[in-house]
Amino acid sequence: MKEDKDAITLEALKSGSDFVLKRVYEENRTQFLNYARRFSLSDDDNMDVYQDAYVIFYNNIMGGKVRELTSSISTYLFGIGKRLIYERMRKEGKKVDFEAVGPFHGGGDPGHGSALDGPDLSREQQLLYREFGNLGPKCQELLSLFYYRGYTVQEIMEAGNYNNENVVKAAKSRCLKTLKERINPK
Amino acid sequence: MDNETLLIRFFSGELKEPERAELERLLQEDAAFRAQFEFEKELQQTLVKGKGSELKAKLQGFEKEIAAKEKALSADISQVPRKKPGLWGIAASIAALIALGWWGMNTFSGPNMEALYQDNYESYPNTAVTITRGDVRETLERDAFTAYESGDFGSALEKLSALDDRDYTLFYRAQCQLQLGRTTDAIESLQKNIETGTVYLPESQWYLALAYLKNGQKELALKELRILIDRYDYKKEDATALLTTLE
Repeated sequence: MKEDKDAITLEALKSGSDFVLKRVYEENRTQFLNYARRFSLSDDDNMDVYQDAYVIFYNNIMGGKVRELTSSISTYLFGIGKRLIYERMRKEGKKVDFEAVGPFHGGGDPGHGSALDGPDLSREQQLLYREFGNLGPKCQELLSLFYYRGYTVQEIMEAGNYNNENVVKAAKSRCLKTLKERINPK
Repeated sequence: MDNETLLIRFFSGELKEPERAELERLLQEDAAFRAQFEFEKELQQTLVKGKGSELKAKLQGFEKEIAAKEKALSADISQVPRKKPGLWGIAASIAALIALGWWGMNTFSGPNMEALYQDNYESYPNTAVTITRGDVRETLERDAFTAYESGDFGSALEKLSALDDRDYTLFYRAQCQLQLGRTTDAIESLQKNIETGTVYLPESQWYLALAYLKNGQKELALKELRILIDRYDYKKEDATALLTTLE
């Protein structure tokens, strides 16, 4: 018998492995697209919804919004996808067949900062993201761990071989100051 | 607590209630604090969106790989070589026929269908009902899928059987029946879903083929596999490989 799909754990996903990222994407893709075909969205829309759902799913896991799941990874991903289908149909003024969408049971909450808020970066955010990319690797790592992955100062200290929490705080302040100066040169 | 620690605790999700009130007060009264807070908040949103855009580009790259793979697979199927056999080829075919005849006489069967079933069968995840911690609604539906996810297929089947014959219930009943070795019942549920259902149709087609395989009904398994390949994309690669092996 083939290995159970849920053998891939949240921890494996959080490790940032491209192999795991791709495997979970591919394992759920056909099922989701088949499911989505029952609604009156185009195939391109369905693919777009699946990818948006996957981005939210992955961001929520990497950002620590989901630390533990009581359902399977697939169920959580589908929960997000269902909500996105519902949102998209509503925006396009299409009637939503709730029986076809199925129950949400409060699951699949896309969370904050999701694609539902608008996936595109504003002009200011583009500048900020570009300058973030121009920071040194140590600064990028520290700021990503703190603001994107939701690590605490202590977790960063342990992950980044810092001597103590004050060193982490000082490094974070320096990185933020550099970034701020680069986007607002005097 | 100094202002910097307050911001750190906010962004790492560790802020407690009295500190939250202090944060609110500073945001109202201290312009420099507010500017710093907004800068950090903007950075957080930018990183989430920026990394999301990078990930989406990566997923689009996966799609290109999948499309190329599917194209290559369909080319393989349509271009099965039909070379004329040479003398050695004819001799090899005769030898193979003799060997096959001997093997057939010994086994009186085709490929080992139980082994093929085991190779191809994998449990289908719960994609119908999302169950989250803190959801206090104790419905039959939720209980059924909680049992399903925990591998208690007997209990899941009992609860799913109490629900109407609609939507996903037939498909998941069949999943439980397959897990419990009640293959004939699973065949009946899957056939009913294919005939009357609106969801999990390609999936039902695939599992129906596997159920026939498990029951040793090769011709029926072949028929269902051909329908699946013809009508749907679901499991196309696996179904094609299984069809080739069975044929």
